[in-house]
Amino acid sequence: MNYRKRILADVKTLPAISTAALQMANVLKDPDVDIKNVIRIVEYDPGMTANVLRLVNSPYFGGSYHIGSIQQAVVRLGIDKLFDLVVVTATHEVIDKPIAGYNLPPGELWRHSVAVAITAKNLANNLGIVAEDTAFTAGLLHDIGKVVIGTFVEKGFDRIDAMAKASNLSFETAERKILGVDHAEIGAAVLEMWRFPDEIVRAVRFHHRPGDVQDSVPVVDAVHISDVVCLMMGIGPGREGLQYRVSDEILSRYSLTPPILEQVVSRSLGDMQSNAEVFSVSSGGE
Amino acid sequence: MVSTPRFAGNVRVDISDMKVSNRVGDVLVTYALGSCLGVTMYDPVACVAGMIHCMLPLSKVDPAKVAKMPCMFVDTGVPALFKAISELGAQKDRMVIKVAGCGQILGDNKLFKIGERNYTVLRKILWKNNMLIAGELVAGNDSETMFIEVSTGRVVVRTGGKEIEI
Repeated sequence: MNYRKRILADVKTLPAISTAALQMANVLKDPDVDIKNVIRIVEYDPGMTANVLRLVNSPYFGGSYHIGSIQQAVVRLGIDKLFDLVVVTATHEVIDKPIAGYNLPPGELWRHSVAVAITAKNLANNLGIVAEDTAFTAGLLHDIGKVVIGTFVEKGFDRIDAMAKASNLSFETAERKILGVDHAEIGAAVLEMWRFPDEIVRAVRFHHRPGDVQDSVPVVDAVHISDVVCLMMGIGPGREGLQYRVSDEILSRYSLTPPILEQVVSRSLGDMQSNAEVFSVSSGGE
Repeated sequence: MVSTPRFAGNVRVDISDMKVSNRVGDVLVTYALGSCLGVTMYDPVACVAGMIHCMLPLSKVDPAKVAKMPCMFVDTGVPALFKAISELGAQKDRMVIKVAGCGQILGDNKLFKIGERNYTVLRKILWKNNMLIAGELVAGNDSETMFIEVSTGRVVVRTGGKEIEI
């Protein structure tokens, strides 16, 4: 049975996120975005403002100076980084939940999401990809579709797992064959509903099949590679374990070597451990 | 397959971390070994157990990390575990070494064979020191959780919904 329609309908049942995040995502679609408007949107939400200022003054995001207002944050860090901070604040609660199907305990999908965000940013930096902040946000949101599709994966897990193993398929390919849709497409549907910027929607949609994107899109590639790396490092693998595949075609676009990749991994885990409190990340487990 | 008692660890070994114990009631545990390497060392006479969870094979990729996180790397972490367990009275000629993790994703891309490289570096270290692996469950596509019971030295790996004693 194909569950595609039912799962896509369930996207609408996802709890609402902060209006400030939705409004900001929307205004960012405008290439001539009015910065004053963005500042107003964030400042209108006192909880969001407090959290953004807490993050912006943390060692991970901040510099050596104290930032006391949203206006200062935009001026010093830029609008894309401000969006990173707004998205971290707005989506934490949604992604922090236990995820059925993949058997992820509370906090584990959030931990994985933060790890992929940090790794994608570091990888983008290492490979000279300019859109570091977009790589971070896309990395943070890449698996949000699991929140919706999890209960369907739970019902179909045995069949998905058996098909993946029998045919040497990656888990999400078998997921798509059995359920008619995979978590990446569902994640993209969630972000389209929230009217997030197209480049983030695209990175989420194609994070397991970056070769299907028409032109080379480095942010998609950075999220794809970072997701696989974090699963290998044991950060967020669910019941499906390491049944994922990395695209050889994508890797051939970059001059990645084992030492370069391992440097990125080492730096990213260091960043994760020293900023666990900033991101409210737990230490994982069962 | 081991059905009883079900293993539940009370001393947690995080990623890039190690623990040693001679407290009889302790069970050391490390979760979600993917391509990472899990090693246990046990001396049945001294009744001392140790466990490490290493991410990457060689420390030369990030020498600045070694002082702060020696257990991140196999080449610095495994000797550190040996030193720590020896300080609790364990002796090399009685040491029982078991290994888990070193898993692989699908496909054959050399860049992503971190698990295989972790295992190779471990084998080299042990070979140079005339030490053998007594049991292992490595190189699959599943995530593994590894336990060692201090009172008995039993090592159990939980993977794919099963518990397997190695």
